[in-house]
Amino acid sequence: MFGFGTILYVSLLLVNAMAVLSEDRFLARIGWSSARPPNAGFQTYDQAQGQGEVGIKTKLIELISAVRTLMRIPLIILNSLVILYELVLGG
Amino acid sequence: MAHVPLRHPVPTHPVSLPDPPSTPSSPDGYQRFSSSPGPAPPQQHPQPQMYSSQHVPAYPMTSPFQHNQHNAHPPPQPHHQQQSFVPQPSFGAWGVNDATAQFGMQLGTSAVAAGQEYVQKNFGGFIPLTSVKAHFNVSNSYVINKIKLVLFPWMHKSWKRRVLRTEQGHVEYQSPRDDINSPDLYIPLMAFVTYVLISGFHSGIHARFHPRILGESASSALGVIIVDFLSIYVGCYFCSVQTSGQVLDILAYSGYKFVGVIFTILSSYLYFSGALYYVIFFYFFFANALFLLRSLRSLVLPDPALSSSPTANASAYYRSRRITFLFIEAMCQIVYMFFLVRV
Repeated sequence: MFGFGTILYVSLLLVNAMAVLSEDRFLARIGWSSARPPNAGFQTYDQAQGQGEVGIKTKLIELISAVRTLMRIPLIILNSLVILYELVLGG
Repeated sequence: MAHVPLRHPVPTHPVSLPDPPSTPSSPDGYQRFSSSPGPAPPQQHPQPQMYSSQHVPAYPMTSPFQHNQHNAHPPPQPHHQQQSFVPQPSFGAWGVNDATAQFGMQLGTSAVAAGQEYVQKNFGGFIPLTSVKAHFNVSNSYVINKIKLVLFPWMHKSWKRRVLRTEQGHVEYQSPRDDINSPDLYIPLMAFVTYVLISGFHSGIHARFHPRILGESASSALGVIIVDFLSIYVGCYFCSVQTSGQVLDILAYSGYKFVGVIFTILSSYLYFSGALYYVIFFYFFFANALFLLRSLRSLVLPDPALSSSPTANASAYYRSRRITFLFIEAMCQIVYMFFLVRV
């Protein structure tokens, strides 16, 4: 159905989309920032994380920030490779 | 009528069979393809002995061509001298004396050990070899009972995996040979290969076989397994389930759906009507879903007796989330199985 190349391209584009999200302009606005605000929402965080429970939202935020931190450099390399490939052999 | 007694036909022309080549009592009569020239079998050839004294110290793995060349020169001569040979014991028969043989063995052993160490250092973390071996430790009765379990899961009573405590206090599960509830990798692997073969067989029956169909089928089945594994893994991450040593178990559980898929495809050869085929398909899907729900329960809702990690909290907040995740996962199997059945 979907070829391997298609799946590769789609995943690369999705990871690019995750990496492009701006930390302070966008994520902080909608409250998805990974840096815990010290005062705002202190109590609700505390209740939810009293016994080490982390919600799905927190996990998602952690996942996004981890992907963004780790995949910066490999994404540069991968994007360059794909661009070169498309230029030379894309047709 | 005159009786002529039957006689064995006598050949009228003189037939002389050539004498069979005389077997030399020592392998020196044949060309030696040994790796190093040997010690002195008592030939009256000063030449090979000079060569042999030069070859042995430097490099025992010389090519056999040099040796064969100067052994091919005197081909008739060794035949005359067989009776004077005494066959050398064991390695001597190959033209390799004991010291060289031992050196060669040591070299080989150290090379293999170095290779293993290299692999272990670089790739040992990815594939836990002992765990893989434990998953292939199956017996015949286990295989039959497990297939029965996958196809008819309602008949099974207790789904808990048996544990055994080692001396160090670690708690680990028993191998599949001892525990019917333990997942193995043998059945999923065999089912995967059988699925690829059946897809080839299916296309052959419909006269559209091409060897690339096998590769395509294998790739798509592998893709399904990867997607399933990723969805379980990401779901476990979101629900804070520890998946440290359980990668192979997840792969094993992903592979059990092939058993149902194979039986569905086989049932399609029996010329059932369309409705009955879909009934059978849904039956196998529900059987697989039930099997997964029961089996993954131990994965996702950890038994308090076993858990040693601090995040093994069976609080209500987690339980409902995990149960929802498990249910969604079991329901996704129908998508995978539907994709696989369209072979």
